[in-house]
Amino acid sequence: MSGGIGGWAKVRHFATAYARNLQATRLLSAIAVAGLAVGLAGALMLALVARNALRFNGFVPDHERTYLGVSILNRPGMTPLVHDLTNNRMAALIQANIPDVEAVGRLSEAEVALRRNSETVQANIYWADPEIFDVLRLPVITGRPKTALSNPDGLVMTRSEAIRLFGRADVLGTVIDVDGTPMVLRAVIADLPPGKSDLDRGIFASGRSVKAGFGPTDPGGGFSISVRTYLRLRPGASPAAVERRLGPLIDALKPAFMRGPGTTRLVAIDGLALHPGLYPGARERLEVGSLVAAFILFIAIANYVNLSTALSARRWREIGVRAACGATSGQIARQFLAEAVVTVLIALLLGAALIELALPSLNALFETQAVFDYRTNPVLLLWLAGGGVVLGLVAGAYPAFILSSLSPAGLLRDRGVAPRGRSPVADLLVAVQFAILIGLMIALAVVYQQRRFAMTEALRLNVDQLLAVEAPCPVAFRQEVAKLPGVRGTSCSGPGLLRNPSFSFIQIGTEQITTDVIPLLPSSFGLLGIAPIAGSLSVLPPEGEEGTQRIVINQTTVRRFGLGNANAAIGKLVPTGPPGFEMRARIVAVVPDFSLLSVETMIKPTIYLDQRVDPGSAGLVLIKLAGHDIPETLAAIDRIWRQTGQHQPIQRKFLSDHVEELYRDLERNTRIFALFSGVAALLSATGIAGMAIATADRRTKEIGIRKALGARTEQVLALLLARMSRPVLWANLIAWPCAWWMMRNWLNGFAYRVPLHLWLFPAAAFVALAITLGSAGLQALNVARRRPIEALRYE
Amino acid sequence: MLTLSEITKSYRTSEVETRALDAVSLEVGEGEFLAIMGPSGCGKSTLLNVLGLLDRPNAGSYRMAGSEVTGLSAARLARLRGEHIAFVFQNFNLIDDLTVAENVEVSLLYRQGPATTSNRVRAVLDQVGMTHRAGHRPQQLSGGQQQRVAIARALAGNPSLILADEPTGNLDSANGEQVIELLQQVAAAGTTVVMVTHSHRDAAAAQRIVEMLDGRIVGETQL
Repeated sequence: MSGGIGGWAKVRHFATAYARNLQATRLLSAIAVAGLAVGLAGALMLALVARNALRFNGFVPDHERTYLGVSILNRPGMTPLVHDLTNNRMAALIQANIPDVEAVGRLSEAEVALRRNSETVQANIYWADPEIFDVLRLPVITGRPKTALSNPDGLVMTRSEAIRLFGRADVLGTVIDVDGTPMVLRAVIADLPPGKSDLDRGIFASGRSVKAGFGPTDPGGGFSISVRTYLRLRPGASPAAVERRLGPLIDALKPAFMRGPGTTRLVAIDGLALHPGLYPGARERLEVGSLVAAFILFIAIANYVNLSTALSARRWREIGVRAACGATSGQIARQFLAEAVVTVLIALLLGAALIELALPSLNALFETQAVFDYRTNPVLLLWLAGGGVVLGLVAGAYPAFILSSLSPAGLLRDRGVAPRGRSPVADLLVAVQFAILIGLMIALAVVYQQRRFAMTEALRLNVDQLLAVEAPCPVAFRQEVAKLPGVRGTSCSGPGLLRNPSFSFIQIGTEQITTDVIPLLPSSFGLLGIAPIAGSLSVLPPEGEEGTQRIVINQTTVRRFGLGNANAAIGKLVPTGPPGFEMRARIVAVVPDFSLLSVETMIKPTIYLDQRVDPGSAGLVLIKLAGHDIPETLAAIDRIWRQTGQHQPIQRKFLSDHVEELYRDLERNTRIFALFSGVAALLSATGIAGMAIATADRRTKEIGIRKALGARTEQVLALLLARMSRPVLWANLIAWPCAWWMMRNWLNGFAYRVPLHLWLFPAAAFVALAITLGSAGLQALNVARRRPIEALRYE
Repeated sequence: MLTLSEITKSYRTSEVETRALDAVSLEVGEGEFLAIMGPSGCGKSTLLNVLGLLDRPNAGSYRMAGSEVTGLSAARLARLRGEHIAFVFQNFNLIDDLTVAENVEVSLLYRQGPATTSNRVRAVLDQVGMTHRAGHRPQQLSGGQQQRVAIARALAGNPSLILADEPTGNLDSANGEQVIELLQQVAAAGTTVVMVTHSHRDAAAAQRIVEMLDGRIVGETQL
């Protein structure tokens, strides 16, 4: 009796067997590997996008006990307003009164002019307390950031900001003019990872400078929120306990009437990216993205499992021989598992290359900043390799189990191994795969319809060629702009027309109704394409009236205030302020409900006051363009802005862009579904084509017999396609109820929504079937056309 | 060396039970060359599979070198196969993706014990006159050459038992004769050979012929 062969010789033998099998089945193996690579790349890219949100600020030491103070304004019947700003004096109060806080510091955002060697650039900076670098201990390159900001003229920059401004990073001591004040660069810190932090500016100027506005009182007196306050708790300290102590301290700063609805909360900086108040929709996007990633991965793996199981038929003899030579079923299973792991690792390598190519486009499409940093992040490499091995074991388990459980005696017989029908597991995998595809297509259609609805019908106003300039209605500017030939009309409104309108609790009977209050000149309605449904706007002074005597309301106000109908409401006196304030005004017109806020929320009762916005507060100048010579008109508006003595750069945007921004989440979800439905369709199509090729051989004998007995080509073709289509039709049973339930819930999140059209379901099923028939058809036709003698000789 | 007592093997499909071996008892001595003959479907190949531990009997006893093997685990049977038994098939059963030398190597893969060098592969290929084709694929060889490679594979592990299932069934007479000669040489060197065949000429090369019919042994001829 001889001994066995050595370890390396064994490895070489199995590697050879694997490589030769790949070579012999190159087309189908290429389909399987390419599908896996695309699936892995898609899933990994979505995982990289998700990682940014899940490990937000993860590079900050002790991030798990570092918090940002946020201000929450609770409004009855409405979503609370969440701001990442807090009161200017909060940091000092915390330092003096709450020993559980280890360090606290403030940041305030500003846009400044930086001037050096007669060159001026606009830059976004932070005014920062020196202590901010105690709280956020960012990696330092040169200098000592905290000491740097202790001087009122101190500056700290990230490396790339220093290089952008000075051409190199080694420039400590360089002086630069910040809004007219010379400041000195005293420390350089490492770049902040893009997309992984709420700190998106690279210049920190000393908060001790008088320009910072970090004085001991609120700007303008009263109580306001204007700075970001970061704090790090001592190990073991509870954020809830700190919040409880902080509440009364902050309340003591507020005038009495502001104490009720506002609270200050702490949000962990590593959870900021998913905070529903600060980043609405981020969590849902993450969930949708993760689900889609899991789906894509499943489709790719299901393809691989099906193809490798189908392809394994050509290795039955090999398995029989190995068993006859003493291989146990465990050894055979291990051989095929190892092959699956190697295949997945090859696909992973190809997928990684795909990610390198596609990630910038994906980032642009989804407006994310995901990075594939495997070169600098060995942990990611370990995760990838480990994940690849686990995935390989999962993908290889079923084929390995099937192959190792075959009887060697049967495999070695000349005739004994009858071609098997397709396994129920393979059918189930195809069914689930197509269920996912059908579900994704339905989701894509619904999201697209809702987006179109939100941006057109649900708006109920005409934002075409309507420009909004952020300014409190400067008279000279408006007059000059109105004279431009490319301008049809101008008007003014409060900023609440576009975001966060002021509101009042109005007592109607026993009920307090939260009512939006928007100051608006009557001409604004005309520019927005809104005509009153009752009453008249002409009775209102075109340039506003002093005090509030006459108002315009929307239809919801008529209903909620119990005013009967629109005509009946005209002339009625209604309260316009909270209980205790004797504010009443007469209704002169009722306009249809409209909103430039998101369709996610119901349109609220809204009172439009015929008022001009005070100079000094925020406001909007609405300009309706004629639609011709737009670039020239915009340039003229910018010129008039400067000529009429406005000092800040003009902030203008088309309302159509505002609406686009409003529905950016919908847009991003549409893109996610569109892109990955495409990937799913491609993978499913190649998978079905591969299966058609792999299974055709197995049915050759059956087809030969059928044709010998008189079956025509088209009958055989129909038989083959019917067999291929069956799991795809079953897929609808899974997809329809799941998609209906999920999309119904999703649509319910919108106050104004499209109906869930039932025709989408058979339409998606039809597309899936077309993909199946299209991808399997050619191969099926080839097989069906074979002469029976060829088919019978095959066996 | 091999002792079978009252071995029964049945196959059951949904409604029909087929008895492939019906109380078969047989003894095969060490170094003996035994031929099994009988019409198609009489149970010859099933008997060979039971002898080769590829199939388990439903009843009866099978002792190999004095030890009972019917109750052993699948892993233990696989190990016994790997170390003591080799097969030669009518359809050669060479692995298309591997070269001649790699096909021979397969029989050494699943063995335990000290490593054997590639000299062993070369030696058995030399023994069957196929060294010059070591790097070829099976499809590049004639039927006779393929069967010689299969015999080389069987010989590589120095088995104590070779089971040959119609080894000349797919060969012309000249190649068939060469194969039978090789098996005779192996038996003469002390390896037990059990061969299933339809050919009286091939069977005549054996030392004893067992006749089977309907799953039973119905006759025996000592040559």
